[in-house]
Amino acid sequence: MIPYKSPLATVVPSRLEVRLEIAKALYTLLEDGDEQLRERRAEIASIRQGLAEIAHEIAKFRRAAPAPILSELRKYGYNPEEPRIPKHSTGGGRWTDNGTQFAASGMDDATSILRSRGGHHFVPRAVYTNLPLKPETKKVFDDARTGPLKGARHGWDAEHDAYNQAVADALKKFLARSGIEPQDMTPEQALRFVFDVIGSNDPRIHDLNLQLYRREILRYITPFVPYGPSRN
Amino acid sequence: MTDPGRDPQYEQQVKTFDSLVQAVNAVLEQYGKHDSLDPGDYSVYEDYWGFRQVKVSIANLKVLEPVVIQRLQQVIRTYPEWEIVVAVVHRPNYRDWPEMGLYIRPHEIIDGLQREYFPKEFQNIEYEGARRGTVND
Repeated sequence: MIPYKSPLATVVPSRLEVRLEIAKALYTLLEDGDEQLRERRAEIASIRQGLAEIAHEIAKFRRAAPAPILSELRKYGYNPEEPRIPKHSTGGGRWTDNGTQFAASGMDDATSILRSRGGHHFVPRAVYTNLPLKPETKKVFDDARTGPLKGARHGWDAEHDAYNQAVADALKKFLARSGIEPQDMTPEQALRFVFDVIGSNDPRIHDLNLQLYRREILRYITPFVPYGPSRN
Repeated sequence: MTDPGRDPQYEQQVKTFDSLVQAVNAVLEQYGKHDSLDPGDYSVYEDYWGFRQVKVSIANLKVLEPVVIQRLQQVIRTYPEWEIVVAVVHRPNYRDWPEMGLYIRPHEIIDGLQREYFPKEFQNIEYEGARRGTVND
């Protein structure tokens, strides 16, 4: 029987000088590798630092960006502190108790919704123009508007009509609930009614107001995109 | 964000809009009753949305008679570049009828009425010089 002889044994040089040469070569290769490794590590550190700076900028932007958007939304009566139905419940995200919100917001916040210049009247003029309101009460309805809108083409939809009818219904109920006639309505009651309209869960009211906010925000983000009847 | 309310051109458009609304109301009140706290025959939407249009909702088809539309076209001829949008609405069940209406412009009327939904006496309404069109015309 021929005894087993490992082939590895045959490739290891038997002479010490040769082994020393090989060891030197390996050492040199390792040194080069270390140098490359150091270079790669420096590059990675530099990239990490760059990423950290970008992340910092993004975080800064995320903190700062909502401010102008919220400022615009507040013009239209949006209040982020207002109580809402929880996200995953029916009607989630919608405003809940208008009266509470109104009372909690205080008069300064409440009157910030009044703007005498342009835009959509929360209480349509058709609803109150012919009512025998006090001038100061009528002024509240006159001034409760979104502020100038930036342009959208009307189509043949019935949303405005439904909105007007819904607000008229709501005003009749409000007057009945308060036990007053139109001529007795005070400016404070008018303002409370305006907030009822803004926070209404009636889809005829809610949907049109929401559509307006959305479109104005889109206009803010994409100022040159045309909005026609089919893109309202 | 530029406030269009502080733009003199926008202010001028608002003035023109208010004047046109007044003129449209002056015509329509001769043929029907404007909505108020209680529903009427029609409603003129009195808020300027930044587009050169005045929108009217008509709930009583009598206000759609050719003589009324002709009078409205006479009004709009004195307001070049503006148009009157007439939406025909079916109260209170709006969804029973599809969206339909007219665009009244100085030089043309776009007719998007779907007469098959109307009572028989209104199904043959026609407007001189009108052409059939869609909401996107």
